[in-house]
Amino acid sequence: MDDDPSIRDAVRGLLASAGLRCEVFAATHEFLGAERLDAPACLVLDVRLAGMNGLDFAEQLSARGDQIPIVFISGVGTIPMSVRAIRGGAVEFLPKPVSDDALLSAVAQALARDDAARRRRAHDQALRIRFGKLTARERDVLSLVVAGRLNKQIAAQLGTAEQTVKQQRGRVMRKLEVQSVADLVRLVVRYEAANPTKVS
Amino acid sequence: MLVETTDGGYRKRAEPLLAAEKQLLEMVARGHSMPEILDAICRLVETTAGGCYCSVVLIDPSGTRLAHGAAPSLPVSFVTSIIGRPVNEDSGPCAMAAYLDEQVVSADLTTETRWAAYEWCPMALAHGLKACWSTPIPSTTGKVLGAFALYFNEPATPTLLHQELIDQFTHIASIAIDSARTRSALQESEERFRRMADTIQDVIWITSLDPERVLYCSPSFERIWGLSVEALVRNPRLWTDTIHPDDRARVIDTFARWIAGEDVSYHDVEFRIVQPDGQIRWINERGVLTRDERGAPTLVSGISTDITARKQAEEALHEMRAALAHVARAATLGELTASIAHEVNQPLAAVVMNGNACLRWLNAGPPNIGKAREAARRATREGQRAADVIGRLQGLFRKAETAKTEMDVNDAIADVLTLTRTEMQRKRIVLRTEFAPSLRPVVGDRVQLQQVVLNLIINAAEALAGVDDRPRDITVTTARHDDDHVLIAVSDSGMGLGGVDLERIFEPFYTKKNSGMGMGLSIARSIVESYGGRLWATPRVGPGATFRFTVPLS
Repeated sequence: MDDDPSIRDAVRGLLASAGLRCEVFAATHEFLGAERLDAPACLVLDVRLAGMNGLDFAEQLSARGDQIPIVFISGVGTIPMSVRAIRGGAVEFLPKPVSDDALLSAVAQALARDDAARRRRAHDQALRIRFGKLTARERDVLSLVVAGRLNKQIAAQLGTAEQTVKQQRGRVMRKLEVQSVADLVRLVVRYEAANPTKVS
Repeated sequence: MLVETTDGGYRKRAEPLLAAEKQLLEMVARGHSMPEILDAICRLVETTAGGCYCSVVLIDPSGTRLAHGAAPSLPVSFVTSIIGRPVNEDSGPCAMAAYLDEQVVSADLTTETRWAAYEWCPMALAHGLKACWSTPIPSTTGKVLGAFALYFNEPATPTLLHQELIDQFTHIASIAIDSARTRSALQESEERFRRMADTIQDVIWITSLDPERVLYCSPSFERIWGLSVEALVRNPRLWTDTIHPDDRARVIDTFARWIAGEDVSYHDVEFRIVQPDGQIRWINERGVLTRDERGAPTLVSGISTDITARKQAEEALHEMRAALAHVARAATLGELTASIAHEVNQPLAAVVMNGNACLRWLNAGPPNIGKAREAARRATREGQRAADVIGRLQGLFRKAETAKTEMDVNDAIADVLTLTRTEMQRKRIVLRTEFAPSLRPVVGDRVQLQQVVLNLIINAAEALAGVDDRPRDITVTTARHDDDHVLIAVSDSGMGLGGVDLERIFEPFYTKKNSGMGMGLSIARSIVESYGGRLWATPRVGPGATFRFTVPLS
């Protein structure tokens, strides 16, 4: 995104020469209104926009939960500006004129980051679906299993038969698609890292 | 002694009198001196009347004292005792006649009681005079010029014949005195003119047109032209030949059209002359035409003034103004450095990226020539854009000298607006233009016109700095003002001109800002005025202010 059509054309041309697909936007509302492709993407953003500061816009995007990686380019780069950009999560802060290598490597890095983020998000999503299948009682059993309790102890604590706990535990393993208790523990740790609320 | 005779006798006497009168009038016409003519009158009357002495006394220029006119036969001591007496009723018969403007006859001075205060009668009697008839001499305008007097050794009373003689010669004396006075007035005036013309710094000249002859040229000509007046009289063409070749055609054309009666004045015609040693002087010339009764011009008189010093001062002032404008322009551009750097940087960034893209397309296997060409074309275009920005900047940073050219005012303004574009974005100002289409070109210095616009825009931007409750707008419009001028207006929605003197803001060093010298508007106005336009400010309807200026169309 750049308010200068020359820069837009040049960036598009350069990215096209690297075999990348590129859409250009003259203003923030154009970008916000555009439909996103379901593919790794990044935003190449000029710090100086008509009517808005690029850094402000980046913060606005982040506040909306949009995690698209951003590569800043700027003709008037100052150190405080680049610090603010990088802290805000920018992949790179490139001064104009931008060399092809610098821009393409920054874009590649950004795309890789987005790809990873997308994968992580997809995985987290899958986990959430798996965990969502558990009943309240199964969650209780799961948390006690992860805490290292034996079936007998769990049955005593929940006031039920050991045989019942065994069956419930088998269902949890199936629903969460794990083979061993070790796998189960790893899965729960990852899930809890990605989701603020605890499993139980 | 003249005695009354029959009609026939009078007629016989009348003929030689007529001849005498004719002779006197001839003397007047031939410009004989006044004393000569008055003398002749006295002698003629003395001869004709017989036994009498005549005198003419004049009233001096102050109108209060008697002065000598003529008295060929009276004793000098008598004449001198009359001269200088005051013009009143009491100092003597002539003074009384002149004072009252009526004839005073004293037939017998031995019994006369008047003029006792001045003891006039004893003085006359001492010279053996016993009668005096004094008659006022009127001028053609009715004013009394003096008195004509006849004196006798015996008491005497005027006869009818005497009276006629007196009337006749009083009349001739009046003509003689009048014409002598007119002539001397003319001479004096001529003298005064010469004295003035000979000493004045300017050159005064009179030329007849057909044939072309220099009738008069004052001596200053030699000082200013470095040529002698004689040389000019010998060759009147020197006048045009000495005009600087660049100015000659214009001056000759103006002069010819003026003479031909076209609606052209020959006032304040300014041109350069080249002295024989090659020195250049500036001349201001004004002429007046004299026409004959058919209205054809016959004479041209005029004044030529050496205005070299003034021209040099003007030029120096002009150069100083231009230098000041240049400095101010550089200062203004200095304020825009960041924006201008961006304006150059953008296309350069585009050039680099497009160049890189081009190389990548060429290095691909197989090379994509079509795409490479496209990228190269974009790079070229952007390179040109950078060059254009630099070119505009160079124009604005150009040296101080000014050049009047014809230009498209919209183009000139659009050029300078591109330099402020980034600055406007940075300050979140929306800059709009409303350009009148197909304006005739304007005449002026392009850079200075751009400077004025730039100054007004920067001022407007500063006025918008504190505005947060409404859009920050600047509108630049161009429009036809009248047949000869285009109007350029810069409006903003800023803090406006409340409490600001709309004229004082154009004074040097007047500023309400914390930065700047307060010279911008003052210089802008002097630029606009030097091109025959006007610059003024008006509050805007709603918030903000509008600055307008006019520039002459070609």
